[in-house]
Amino acid sequence: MSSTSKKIKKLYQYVCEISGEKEYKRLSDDEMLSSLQKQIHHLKKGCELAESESGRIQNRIAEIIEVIQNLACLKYDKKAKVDGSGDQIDALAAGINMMGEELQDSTVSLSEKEILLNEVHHRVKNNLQLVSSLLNIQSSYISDPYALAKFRESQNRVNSMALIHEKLYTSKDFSKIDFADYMNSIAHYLSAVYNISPERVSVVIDVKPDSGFLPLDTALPCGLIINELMSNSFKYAFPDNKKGKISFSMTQKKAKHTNEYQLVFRDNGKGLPKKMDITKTESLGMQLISTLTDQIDGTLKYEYKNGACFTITFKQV
Amino acid sequence: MKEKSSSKKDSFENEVFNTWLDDDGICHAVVKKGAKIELDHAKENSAFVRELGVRPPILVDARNVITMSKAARDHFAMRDRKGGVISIAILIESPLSRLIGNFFMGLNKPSVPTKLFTSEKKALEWLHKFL
Repeated sequence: MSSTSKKIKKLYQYVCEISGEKEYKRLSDDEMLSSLQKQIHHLKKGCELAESESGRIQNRIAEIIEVIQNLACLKYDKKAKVDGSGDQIDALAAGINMMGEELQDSTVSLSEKEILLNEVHHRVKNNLQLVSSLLNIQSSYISDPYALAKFRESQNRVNSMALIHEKLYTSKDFSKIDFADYMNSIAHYLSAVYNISPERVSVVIDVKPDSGFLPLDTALPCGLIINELMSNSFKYAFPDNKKGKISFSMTQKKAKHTNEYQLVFRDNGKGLPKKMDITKTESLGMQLISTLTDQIDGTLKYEYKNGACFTITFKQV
Repeated sequence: MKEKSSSKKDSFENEVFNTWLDDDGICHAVVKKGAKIELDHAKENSAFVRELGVRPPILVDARNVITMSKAARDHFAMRDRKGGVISIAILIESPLSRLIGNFFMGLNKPSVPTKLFTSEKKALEWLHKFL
């Protein structure tokens, strides 16, 4: 057998093997060459078919990816084609389409709930402002300065609560409050009520960005505590039009499962009367501070440090 | 499997369903090849089942389904209404029909006992428990 015949035979056996033919026929060189040509043509056609199938699959996957990209932008107009072959790509396309339908449905209901929640906060704020206005009208019939002051304090408390609902319906997140913003609003409101200019008593608010957002059930008691402390300072800390400074800060210490917050309020005024025990006093303001601290499972500490200094520590799960 | 009833009032056909009540009292709904089920198709089929006057268990042969709209799935899930059937066995085969079946079970949560089957015989055995 010539070396050419050997090469033809070897090539023939190889092509038979990759074509799946296990039995080789005894053929002449010409017959083997002719068979080789036919088999190569057949293999080429198979490859072309496989290539076109692979192209079709790639196109369909690209289309599905485009639909996913649209869904990520909450665009629901485009759907992946389900061509009825019932294969895995069809299942993938149908799954993406159905996921899109569910997502559309849930985002629509979420937006309806957001509108509803917005409306609820708006109405709560309006109702609280109505209560505040009623107290205001009622107070115009009071001549006793002591009773009038008590009415005004109640009005301030109601307004501090109304403010938080106003913050909620004007913000995008109904679950958390921008505490620094809320505190600023309370400070501005109380400065106006007690007619105290920033030149006389400056207010510095230092809320660290990572502790800046609090859930409603924590922010409201904290806001009311600040309302009481700031009202006290405005009323008693700086007698005879003395100048002064009020500052408060909120810091957060992160732990594994809980976050510890520290709310420090201080002024450089005359401080509480030396004999006053903040846990036993009959002052409604101080009693409220204690009760509100209990409400957030916190601890309250008072010290005199060139003025009154209150430290409230609480945890947030 | 029993033969399809020849009685006109006991069978129904629209674009996507062939539905009938067999002699055992099991309703069969066979989804036509290439069917894309929309809410109207679902409502027509449900109207037929309600007119049967009984609440039968139903075998839905979904092996040929291509798509089912959310509105149709929600309708078949009967969450906010009393449906016309007491249990649903869904026959599936291809990856596509498996996916639609699982979607219906998971996200649409039908309000009556519902199970997916790949064997018609086992599906009918299960439905017989509700007769």
